[in-house]
Amino acid sequence: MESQTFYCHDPEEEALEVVWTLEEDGLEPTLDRIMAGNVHDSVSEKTLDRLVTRGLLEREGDTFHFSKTGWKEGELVIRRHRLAERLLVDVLSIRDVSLESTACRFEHVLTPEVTDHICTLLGHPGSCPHGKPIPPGDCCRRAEKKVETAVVRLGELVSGESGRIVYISTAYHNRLDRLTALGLFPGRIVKVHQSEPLFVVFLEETQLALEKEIVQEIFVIRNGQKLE
Amino acid sequence: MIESDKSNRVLLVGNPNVGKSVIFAYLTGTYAVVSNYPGTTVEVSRGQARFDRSLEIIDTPGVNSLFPKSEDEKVTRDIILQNRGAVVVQVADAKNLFRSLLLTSELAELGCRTILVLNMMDEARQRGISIETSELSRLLGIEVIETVAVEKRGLAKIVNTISSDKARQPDIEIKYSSPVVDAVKRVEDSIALPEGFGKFEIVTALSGDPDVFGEHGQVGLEEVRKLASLVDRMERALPHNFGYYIASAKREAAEQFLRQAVYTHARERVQSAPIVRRYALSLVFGVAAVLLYALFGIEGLAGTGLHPTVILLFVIVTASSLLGAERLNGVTTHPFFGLLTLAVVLYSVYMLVGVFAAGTLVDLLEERLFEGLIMPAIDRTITVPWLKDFLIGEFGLVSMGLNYSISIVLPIVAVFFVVFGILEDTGYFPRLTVLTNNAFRIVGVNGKATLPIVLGFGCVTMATLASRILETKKERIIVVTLLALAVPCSAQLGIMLAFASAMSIPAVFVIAGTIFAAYILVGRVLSRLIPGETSDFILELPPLRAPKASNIVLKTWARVKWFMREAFPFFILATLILFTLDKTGGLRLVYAAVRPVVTGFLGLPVETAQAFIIGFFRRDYGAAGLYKLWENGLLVGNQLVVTLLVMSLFLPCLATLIVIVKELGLRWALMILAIVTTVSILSGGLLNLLLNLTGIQL
Repeated sequence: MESQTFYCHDPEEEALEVVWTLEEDGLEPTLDRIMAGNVHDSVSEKTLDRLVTRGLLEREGDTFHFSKTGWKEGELVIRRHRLAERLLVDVLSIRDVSLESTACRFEHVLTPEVTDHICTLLGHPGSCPHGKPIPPGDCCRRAEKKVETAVVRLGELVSGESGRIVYISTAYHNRLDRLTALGLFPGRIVKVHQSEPLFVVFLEETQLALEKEIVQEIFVIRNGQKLE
Repeated sequence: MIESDKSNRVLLVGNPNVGKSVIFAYLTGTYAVVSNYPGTTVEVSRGQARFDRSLEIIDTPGVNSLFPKSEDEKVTRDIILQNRGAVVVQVADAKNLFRSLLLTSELAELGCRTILVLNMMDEARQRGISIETSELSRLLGIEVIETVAVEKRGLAKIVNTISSDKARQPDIEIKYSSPVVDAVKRVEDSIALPEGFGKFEIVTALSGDPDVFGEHGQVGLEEVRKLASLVDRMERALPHNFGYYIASAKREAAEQFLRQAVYTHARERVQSAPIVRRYALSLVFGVAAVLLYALFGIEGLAGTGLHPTVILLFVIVTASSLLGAERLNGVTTHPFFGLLTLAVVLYSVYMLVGVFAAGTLVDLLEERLFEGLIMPAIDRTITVPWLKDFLIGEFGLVSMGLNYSISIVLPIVAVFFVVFGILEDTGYFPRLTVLTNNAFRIVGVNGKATLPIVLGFGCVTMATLASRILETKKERIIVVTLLALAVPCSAQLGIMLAFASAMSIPAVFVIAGTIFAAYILVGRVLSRLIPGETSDFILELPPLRAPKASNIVLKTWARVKWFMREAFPFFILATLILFTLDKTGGLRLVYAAVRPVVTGFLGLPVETAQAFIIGFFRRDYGAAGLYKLWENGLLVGNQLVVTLLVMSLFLPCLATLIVIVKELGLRWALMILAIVTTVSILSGGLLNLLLNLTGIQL
């Protein structure tokens, strides 16, 4: 493991992250659990107490719960972390074990504007590479109304359009394997033949019928467009 | 444990629908059913090589990957694992080189001695694809052979290559990234693996199938569990699951060959065929139609079912040659025109099978041949009363056994097989799944279920086997139950279509509506009750092709032969048993036992009981019996409707039941039997009750 010489983990953000994940998994955020989930060893009981003073956490015995503002704050941290993972994996193709630590460092330097830009660039992804949900930001809510992104879901292309696959975001183990075996993976160009009642696409000479749920998880750049 | 000397075996392996069976037929000199859709071969065929009797050729179900996702893929993987020393002839679709190379890389990892056959070179060239075969061969370090299997081009070279022992391990290395490499090492270190187990098995386990170790009993259950939890723990520490890393490594391994300029795909399409050839088929049809009309006159043709069918076929063929395959492809899956196409297809099937075969041909054989010639001849020549009764009595060997099989069932089945074969070879059926997926989702399965269901209209037994292409057990149980319940087989369907032509429109709707309701009800209940998931719907649609007459003839002949071999002895035997029962009074006992249900609840003549009971052994025989009762005027008015309903929903035949036991186990087979019996008798009875109470005459 590379040594973490330049220390840049913000203990408070780290703590919010751990509490948030515990709650997400339906576990009571007790002091023991928080300490166990604190992989970078930056969180101490003192950190938690500081968050209590800041009004982000509420303490009951050994258990810490979010206050309303704390929950919002935690959500933002999680959103930055998971978007950072997506960016590293899908766009920069970082696939090895350094991902986690890189994403950790990355998340702390992201400003809200940059976060929303990354989110838009990635087409407002719904889940991180581990399959966990990414809390939506303002940009996602806006995007539901109008398309404003370079990367779109394959399902948004209309018949006759084609696009190059940038990434596939799925929580299902088997789906990715199977799509790859049929030749659907980043870099390949797909042409939409029809979209109703099922999606039919051409991949060079292979014609595939896919359910809509699946084409919603395949992200493409419309042909002719470039990633800015 | 693992035998190493399997060198006298040749395995045909490849992606679905690439022509393995055609090559199998060539190498062995036997006929294997060949169609234009993935999943034609779900069972393994074996045969002796024509050119070397000591070689055994094995045809396997098509796979996209040796990491199986469904039962038929698993069959292939296991065969390869059990025959490690065998020669693998990998058949590839030249149009889809990349996907084929993915499979080649897996074969390389398994250390298989491989020969690569690039089939359908003609279609690839037509689409502007060119492949530097010799360069590809040099890079891969194996023999690469170009073929057009349906025209037997290049096939002799496969024989030469096998005979001269030139199969080699392909020179593709899958370079896994560090998470996979580390994980493989950890598995090797922490679990004692039996001899012969290597990287391939470990990678398979990582990809989510740890059972690969336990299945053949080489590794204890405890160890498999330990392995599964180890894989799970390692996977959780990674940003992606192992499947992702494995898939990307394979992808890169295969991609490098495409990059090395072995493969070029010109955007320009080569003009497919000269105008004359493109319109040749419609010309032939036109001439044939004119000839038919000239020979029989419009009046003569009108009653046979051929009259509208000929016009329809002419229109279809002309339209398709005008549109071209590309456009036609869009028509068949279009939400509106696709349904229109389906209606036209169904109407043509009805005209050909229900009207022409079940009407005209059956009349011809039955009235003219049997009742007009053979039976009177027997009547005249045989004077011994019991012998006469034995041959042409109510349950006579000729009047019933031969007559049922040859004049009623044979023409219907033969015509059906021709029509079905044509539809199979065009590649229409997989396109149907696009339209039907949403309907199948209602009952908890996806559009892939269309293939076994459609096959069921040919033979429910075969279709039950074909349900293997479905991915989860849940889906298989649902589809097999629906097959047993609501899908009539070819013989039954033909006879039902004949009945339909004698019924009023509302009656047909009542029957279709009830069957549909039963299908939805049973499907929905099952999909609720059976635990498990429905799998993704991803299906490759094969190219639309004009069917080859020679393949249709061969295929129909093979199927009719198979059918007669199965059905004919049974028809004779069943007739003998009925004859004996009739003479000994046993039949009266049977009638007495079922009379309350048949006459009381269903309101049918007691004679139908014999058809229903025998229908269990062979649906077609039962159907033929009902047909006969109807011809003799024993089924009138609403009885016909009730009979038809009960018959369509009634039990699967014995052969189907045996296959269900084999595929799903005895428990499920009994369950399905119970469901089907209850639903068919109940719906028939309720319909009868309803019609009686309301006094409606359909």
